[in-house]
Amino acid sequence: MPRGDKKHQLIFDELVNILGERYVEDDPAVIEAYYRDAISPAGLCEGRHEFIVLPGCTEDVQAIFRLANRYEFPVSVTGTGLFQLSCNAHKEYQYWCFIDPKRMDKIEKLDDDNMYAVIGPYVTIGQLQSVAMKKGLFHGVPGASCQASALAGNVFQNIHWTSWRTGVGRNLLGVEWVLPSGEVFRTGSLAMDNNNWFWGEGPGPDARGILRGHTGHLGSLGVVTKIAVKLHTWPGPAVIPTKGVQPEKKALLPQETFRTFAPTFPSIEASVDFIAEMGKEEIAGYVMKFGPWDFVCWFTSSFEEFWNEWDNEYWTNQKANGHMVAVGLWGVASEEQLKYEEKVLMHLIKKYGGVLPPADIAKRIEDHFNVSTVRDTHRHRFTRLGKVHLSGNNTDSLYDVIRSGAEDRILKDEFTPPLHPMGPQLKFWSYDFGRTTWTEIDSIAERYTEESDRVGGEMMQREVGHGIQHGSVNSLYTCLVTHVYGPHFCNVHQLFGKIKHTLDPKNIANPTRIVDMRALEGQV
Amino acid sequence: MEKTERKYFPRADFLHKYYYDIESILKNCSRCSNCKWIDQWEIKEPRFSKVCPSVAYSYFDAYSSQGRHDIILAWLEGRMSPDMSENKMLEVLYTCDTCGGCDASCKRSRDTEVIRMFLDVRAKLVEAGDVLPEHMPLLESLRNEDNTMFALKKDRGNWASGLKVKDLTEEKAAVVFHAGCHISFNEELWDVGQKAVKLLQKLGVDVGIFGKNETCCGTKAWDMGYRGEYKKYQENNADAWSNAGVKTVITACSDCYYAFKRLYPEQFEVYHIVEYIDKLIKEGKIQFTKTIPMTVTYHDPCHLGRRSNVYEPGKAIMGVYDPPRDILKSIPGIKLIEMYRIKEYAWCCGAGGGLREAYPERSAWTAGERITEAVSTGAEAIVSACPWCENNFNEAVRANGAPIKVLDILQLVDQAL
Repeated sequence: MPRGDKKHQLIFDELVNILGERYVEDDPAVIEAYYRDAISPAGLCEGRHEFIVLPGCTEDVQAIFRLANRYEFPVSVTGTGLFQLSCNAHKEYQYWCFIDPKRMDKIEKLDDDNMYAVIGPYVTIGQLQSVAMKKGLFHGVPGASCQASALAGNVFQNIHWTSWRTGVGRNLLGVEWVLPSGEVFRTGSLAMDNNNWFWGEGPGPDARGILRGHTGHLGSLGVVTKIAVKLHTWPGPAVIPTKGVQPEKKALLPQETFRTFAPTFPSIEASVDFIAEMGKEEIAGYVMKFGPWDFVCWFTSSFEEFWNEWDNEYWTNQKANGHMVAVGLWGVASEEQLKYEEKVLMHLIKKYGGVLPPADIAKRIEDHFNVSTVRDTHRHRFTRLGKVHLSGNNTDSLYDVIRSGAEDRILKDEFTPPLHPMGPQLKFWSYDFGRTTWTEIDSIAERYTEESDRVGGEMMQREVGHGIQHGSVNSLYTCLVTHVYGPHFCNVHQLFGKIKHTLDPKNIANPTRIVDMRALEGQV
Repeated sequence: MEKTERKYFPRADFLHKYYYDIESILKNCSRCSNCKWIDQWEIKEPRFSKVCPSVAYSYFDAYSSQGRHDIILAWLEGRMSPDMSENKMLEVLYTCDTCGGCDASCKRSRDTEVIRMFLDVRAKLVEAGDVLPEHMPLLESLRNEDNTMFALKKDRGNWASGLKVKDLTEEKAAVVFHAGCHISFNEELWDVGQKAVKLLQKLGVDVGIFGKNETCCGTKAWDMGYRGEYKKYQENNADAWSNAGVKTVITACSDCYYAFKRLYPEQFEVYHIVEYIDKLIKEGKIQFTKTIPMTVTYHDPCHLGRRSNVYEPGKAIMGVYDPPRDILKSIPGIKLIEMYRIKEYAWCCGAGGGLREAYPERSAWTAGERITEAVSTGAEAIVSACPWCENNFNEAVRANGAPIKVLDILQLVDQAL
């Protein structure tokens, strides 16, 4: 029996008519499983959806949006659900309908000649890789790790740990997108025919610029139901070779084509210069500066192991003085390529005063990073210790890191305690061979205490203020407060608002995200 | 540099010490969704990449470990009650077959005990009277007839009719073979019990059985949250064994193995029969003389595998994975092909945790998925070491007409001797 008032029951019945009883829920217990995640401040997790729906195809999604327009209720969507902040029901809205895309989990096509795959929203990166690797192809993995949706990641940040080489944003090819009106919009080469996925650029202006960006549209302009995604050459084995049982399992990729080095530099400036020159040389599969906690958190398998490692002399020195960069060399073309790149790397490490870690630590880092940058990454590991607060989240040029990193540390220290002191935890990841760079500090606090939650909200506001002050994009949080940010960035909020109003005049697609139309009332 | 100077990360219990605390475990869920999938390194085929049968069947996150974390947290914080007229909380919690797949996946990167937490929550709910009506027939069967098979206690010993073996109600023996409820009452699997006893006797083991006086091991009651019932069987079995002079308990059922090895006090030596046979093969005391030309795949029963692990953070999630494989590899003619999900990341058969009894459709679907995976390997037979698994698979094969046999490992061992 549907719950709620007459309108709720009406919407419920209509959703059942579209999808079938099995795929519509309004039960409080079922709904409770869709509100929180690892990084959202508690204040952003207060809302609850009223309906959870499981469409099975593009036509189902279209029907849901047409219904939503008719009865004027909000609809949002998730990928595999890691970033609930982006799609949680807002407590001021009623009848919120949440799309869980689990039934749309097909790899429709893998074209190994043209190096792309066509996928639905619930295909994970691990699943896609398992198919692609057999064909000598690869799809990168973001920090969210391989159980995250490949489609969602590509229409969100499109950042992978191998984006140093494979780029940001340019791996998205043809897109099938259900607009808030319920119409289907196909982009790129799909303009020619519905089965022509291979190219992201189509005739005329490229609509991908509307649907994606540093956070993408987060479902506020409809739901992407299928994409073609570029794949890259994989110089590794068809399956990941493993030995043993988790969490003591080992997976060692062949060292002839995969190496990881972790030089430490004497200053942030030196590490930035090193990365810049690596970019000019156009070598390496990934180049990522991490804080010492990241390294130790990942390659250790338990609290006890973490603390034993964290307290040793090497890492104690790193915390105070070191700036460590993880560099992955991939012999994409050949083993000779890797050997060449290693020579260049060693020369640059020396040039900028870098020092490699002791052999035992180097091996632990390499054995873990080699495989985990391919088929794992880190979100589930660094949230092991407690509630994570992200500060920084700045995206700007590589050299801006020197400014933003220093300010991020000051900001973080202002909130310590309740954040735990962790040393210079700045991490930054540069993409497209040293062009755009994302910075971040992940700090730990106790899980879900009132104080920890308060910090999350306050830091967020301060982050946004910093971004405005310095004219740089604070990526994760600005998507929620574009009406605050926009006036300082050429009134971009009004542009977003106009696009939103054109495509979603009833403001039913994930309202308040990207642009809060209620806050913009009268301005658009 | 003084190691203990904690300038960075000053000491705080929650950061430095893993201790089993339900609230901490619940709040530490980061929604990474590892619990829905097998070990990411091991994904070889998208079709066979999921580890959690309940969310794979239901789709909604509530039916995953992550979803159950959210719901249990709401319950603990007083935001949700297990009133079935108000919500599906009990259904969500009991549609888990307690396979431990999520537990293994979560332990890749966390100090946690997911399955232990779920079982403790069930026990709390039962204690409070928040029980699932669908479990009542099974509870009645246990209470009235001391078995989980809805059968009459007096028929329990029928599997051993004609078997010349010590009756431990009247004699003593060093070893008891505990048949378990399923082997005792499922005629299709009687030969597994018979073969087990005959093999032990052939090997010169001083073995006896309790026949119709045997009672349940208590695992199902434990997994469903009925700890009082479980305790009754634990005490009864331990007393009976002591009185019969038993030092060693051998079983061919993985549920029974789990109870005796992990739940019962450490008073007796416990073996699953595959461990015993493997040991004797390696000692040269068993030699296979016949060839069985067959391609098989092996299914890891959850209670024999990851559920039988003793948790130590950061250490391998061990189970009896290798002995059955080593046995199969040593039988002449047998070719072993692995499925996509094995060992600590194996897909469940669907029979555990009270799921089969309360939600038979889900249980059957889960078994059907495993049969599909087995068939995809090209194997002629799926082999296991648990009658619950084998029965669920037999039913799935019959329902789907799958071109594969279901065998217990003992059947192959017996054939090859």
